[in-house]
Amino acid sequence: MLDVRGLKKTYAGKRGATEALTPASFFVEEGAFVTLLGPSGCGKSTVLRLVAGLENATAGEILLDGAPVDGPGPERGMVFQSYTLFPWLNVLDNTCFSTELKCNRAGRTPGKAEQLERARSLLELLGLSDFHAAFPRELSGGMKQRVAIARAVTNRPKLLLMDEPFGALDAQTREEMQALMLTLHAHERTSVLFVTHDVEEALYLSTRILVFSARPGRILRDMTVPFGPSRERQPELKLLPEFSELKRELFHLLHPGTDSRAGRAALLDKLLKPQHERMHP
Amino acid sequence: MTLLARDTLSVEPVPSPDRAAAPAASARASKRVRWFELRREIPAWSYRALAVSAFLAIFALWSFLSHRAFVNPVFVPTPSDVWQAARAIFADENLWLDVKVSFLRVTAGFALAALIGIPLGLAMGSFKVIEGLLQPLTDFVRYIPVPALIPICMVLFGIDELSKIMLIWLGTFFQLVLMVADETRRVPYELLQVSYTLGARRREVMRLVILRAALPGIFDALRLCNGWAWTYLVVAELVAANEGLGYRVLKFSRFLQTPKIWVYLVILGLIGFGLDFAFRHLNRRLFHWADTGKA
Repeated sequence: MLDVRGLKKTYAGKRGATEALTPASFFVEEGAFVTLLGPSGCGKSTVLRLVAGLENATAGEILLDGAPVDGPGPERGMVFQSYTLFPWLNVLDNTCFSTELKCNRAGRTPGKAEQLERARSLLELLGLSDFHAAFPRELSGGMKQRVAIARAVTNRPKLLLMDEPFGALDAQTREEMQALMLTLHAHERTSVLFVTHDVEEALYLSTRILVFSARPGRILRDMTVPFGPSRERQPELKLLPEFSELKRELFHLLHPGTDSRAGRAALLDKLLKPQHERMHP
Repeated sequence: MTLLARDTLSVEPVPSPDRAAAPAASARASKRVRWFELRREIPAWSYRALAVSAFLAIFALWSFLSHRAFVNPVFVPTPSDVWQAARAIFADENLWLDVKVSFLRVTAGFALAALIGIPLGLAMGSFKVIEGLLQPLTDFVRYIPVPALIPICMVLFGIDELSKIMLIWLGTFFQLVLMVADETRRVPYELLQVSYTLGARRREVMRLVILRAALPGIFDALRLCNGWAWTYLVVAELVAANEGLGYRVLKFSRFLQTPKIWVYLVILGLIGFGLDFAFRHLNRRLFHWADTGKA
């Protein structure tokens, strides 16, 4: 599937070059849900943008099914943190954007009906059946992101890239989106490369987590998440002791400098107490 | 994020004795118009009433000052003088010829500016190469006062229609190009990136994304430029004109026929008002999807 070898990125600035990413290598297998987890500015988004082809690597190579990545392409769909729907297209037309492109180029409509059917079923899966004709400005943030996901997936990409897609959403919407993401992954079996700095989100969604250090980014740990395939995961998973244990482990990896006992206890308490306990005391 | 969850908890309704009265009170509170709330909507009727009363107030002030002869009647005639002049002018077919000729001149200059300015502005906003080539040059040219270009215009384009159209074009084109370029640059970069990841090629991004996204802003730039085109009318009709609204105003002023000047000024204002209304209306119809940024 995706093979990343010795990927390195430095940005040239006024005060010399900044190293965003020290050589990183990893492999994403077919159908996996791999999360890049790390603190802000650790270069995890840079990896995603490099894989998307939106930026050029300083060194190293990215191979998708053996072919080197050169520029952006529809076989690597991307969902951004900011809302990127086309405001002049309604939900269905946004979802069908890539299909329309292909049809326009071919000058005829091969398999257009089938593609339209697929877009409709995806929107249904994401709970947007009643909003085909709605324009983005009429949608909530969560709905916009759902359309953006549908749009990226309609075209059956080999790899779905997601850059903190739920970062701008409130806690409750975020949980809904996570559940939808699991449903979608179970249904579509697309390989996903997901970026987040939320430990809980990473554990809940992914089959594998690559933990990044602070800048310059380096892969600290390649962790396989032992909670089974997406379709078997339920929200209660977050309440399991094993879940908390892994969360604690990841937390220590991400915060190596928390030495003060009192400060650490307070931080841990805040981070480790499952959200459901706080919502239903 | 965690704080958010806690906040939603705290807003749960607390049972209180006057709970039944609460919804009624809040309904009354929401009905009250907040006149000076920042960027808040006010009822449509009050908006119209305010607009009309501004016109009426100016009119009242004008009649008061002119009738009481606080001002020199040669420069500020009374409303009845202007009314007399208006009746004479409307009876004369020169007016309609003037309106027609001026409208054609303005529209031709403006259309030419739009026709060249929109593609050029889009190119300037999209490609740094073209921006580097043309933006500083445009900035340089656009500060040259158009009336100063009249002699050159006459040499280059003669003293017929072309020269007048070109003066209006000069007044609007450079402004329009820069505004279109700005609107183009305002299209979020993420929109281009997401288009690429959906398989769009550069040409397609240009045509299907940048142009579409910038269109409401470009349309608004056209509205403003059309207004400027009309203000350059007098300048254009300084050049060997025999008719036209601007020409007529110049002629009246030469003979100190102030009431007639006022009539023509009102007509110019009404034409501008109508065109602006049409542009706004069309904008709302065409780009209903655009976020207007209202509360």
